[in-house]
Amino acid sequence: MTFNPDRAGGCILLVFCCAYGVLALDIPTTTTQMGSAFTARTMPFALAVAGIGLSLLLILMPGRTPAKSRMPVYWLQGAAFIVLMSAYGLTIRPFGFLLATITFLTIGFWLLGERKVITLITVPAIIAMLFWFLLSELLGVYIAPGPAIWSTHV
Amino acid sequence: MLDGILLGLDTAFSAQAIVFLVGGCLAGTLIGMLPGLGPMTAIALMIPIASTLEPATGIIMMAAVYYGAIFGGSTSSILINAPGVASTVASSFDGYPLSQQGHAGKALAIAAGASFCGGIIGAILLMLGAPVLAQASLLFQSSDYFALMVLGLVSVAAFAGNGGLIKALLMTTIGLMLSTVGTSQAQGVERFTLGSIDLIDGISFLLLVMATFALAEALLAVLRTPASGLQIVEQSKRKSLGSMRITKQEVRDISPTVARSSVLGFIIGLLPGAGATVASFLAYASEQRMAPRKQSPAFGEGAPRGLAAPEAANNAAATGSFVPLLTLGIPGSGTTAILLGALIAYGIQPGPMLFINEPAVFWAVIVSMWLGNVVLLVLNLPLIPYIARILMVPGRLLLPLIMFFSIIGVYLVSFNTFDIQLMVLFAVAAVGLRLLNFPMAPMILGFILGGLMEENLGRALLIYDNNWSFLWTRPLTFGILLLAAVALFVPLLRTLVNRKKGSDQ
Repeated sequence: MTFNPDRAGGCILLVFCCAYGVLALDIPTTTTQMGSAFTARTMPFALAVAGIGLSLLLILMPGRTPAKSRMPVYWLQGAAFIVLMSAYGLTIRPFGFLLATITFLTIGFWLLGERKVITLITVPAIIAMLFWFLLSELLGVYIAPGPAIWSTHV
Repeated sequence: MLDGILLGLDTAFSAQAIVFLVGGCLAGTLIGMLPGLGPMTAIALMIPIASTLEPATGIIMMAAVYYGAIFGGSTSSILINAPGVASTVASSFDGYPLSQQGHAGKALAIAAGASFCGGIIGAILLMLGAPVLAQASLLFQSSDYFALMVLGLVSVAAFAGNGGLIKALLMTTIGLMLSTVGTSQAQGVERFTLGSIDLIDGISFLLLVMATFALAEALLAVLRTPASGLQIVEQSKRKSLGSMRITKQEVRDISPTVARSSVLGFIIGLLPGAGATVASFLAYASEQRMAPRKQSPAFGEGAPRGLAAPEAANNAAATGSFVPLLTLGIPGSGTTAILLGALIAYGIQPGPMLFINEPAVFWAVIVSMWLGNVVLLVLNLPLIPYIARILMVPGRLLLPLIMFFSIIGVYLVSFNTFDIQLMVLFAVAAVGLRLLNFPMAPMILGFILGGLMEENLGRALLIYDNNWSFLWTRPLTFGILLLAAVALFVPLLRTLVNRKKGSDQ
């Protein structure tokens, strides 16, 4: 049995479905549901069984021979962006929209190979300020522009 | 019907609706033109804006984004042989050769004209057919709706799998599982929240769509391209579009093709799961078969009929896919599933009652299809040389911007930073699964229909006194479930036989 992409995905989803099934056991059933044919657990149980069955079918079925992909995958670049996006989520409140967005875009452009300092500074700054103006002035959606410590709210 | 059309015209002709219709068409064309970003991503990116609008205007804008994105996808197929979406792949067979021969302008005009006719014919058929089907579907009960949803999920999985039916079914199941996270509506019980207060309301539809399409798409582009090579169009491919004039003879040649392909596309669009991709390929193949022997070889080498057929069919199919959405509340494709999610977010329940309870939305969507197609032809086509410049924007600037718009779009709805982290997590999972060739559209459909399915099944059991026999004693429910079984087992058997053959070889 060769380990092809279908089986790899099947294994990952099997773990997910098993975990889902185990967690479904924790769903409380209220006293009013006791004699009922359909409780809060019914659908999750059925889905867990279906998911486990389909994952096993995918793993046990004769898999297709994977065509060797010649396209390289730039894992490090991708990982850097995942960290960057997560960091953006963590900083948008304490740093404020403008600073967090400018930093996110500048680092993003730089990671993808932009090296012109003028582009790295002006494009993110213009986009962040324009977007903030559009939100707060035109659409009436307030988003704190600066760091939380500048805020006068208690 | 006339009252409905007048009501639709009244709603769709308001200044706000027209502004967002034109804006939606332009935004859809812009986003759809970028290789890899299709209508689903385009609509997902526009949901945060739509959520600030009135329901009718919001849906008009999203429908405009939909056909704008299909038109944009055709443009990138024709100009750079890089279809933005699967439904415009067939357009590149003859569109790109025409472009290579120096007739890019003509190819774009043929595509726009055929799309326009396909859209208009589709909208007329939708206008005639949808109210009839909506009236008929008033006979449907909860059990029939449950069966219809099963049929929708199975059909979409059968088509979306692209040969991987089991993977598509598994992804549908994963989507259904994700829909159970949060407080169950019927019982008021917390499920799969892991003790987190942020998950009590469940996973946001917008978050999941943005993460699995827009964000995952941008991440995949980052993973597949070296930093130094991130340019969407190489300098060598930048060419003049040439004249956009189509001769009378060409119009005479392609007219019957457009008419046939439009009707075929609309009928295929009605079927759950089939959608614009199947329609465009079928229309291309049937036109190739019907072409006179002397014309046949021209297919694949720049035949105007070979470009007009898939263009008319995919636009008509996109219109046709609105029929099950508007009348039954069952989306026939991933894109209409996102639109269904948006309607539910507005507090509108699509289905036969939409026609009665929200006639303004129902008719405005239909009327907006005519207007949208006119906008695409009159406004977008002349603007194509300018819109196409987005293809010249370096990917190194575009990709972080797509990520930014996706993240901020979700954050602005909830102002909860937990959503950003959850979104990144889903995007990473989606990228991993897509690298392993797992389809995402069935998952979204499962997620959106999951809650409705559980609700209808629970209600049906309540009506039938906790007895499951309605599944086989009620003829309509049984008939639909039988159809679902056929839709499931025929491709499943084919998949098993093919795999067996593959392993034997």
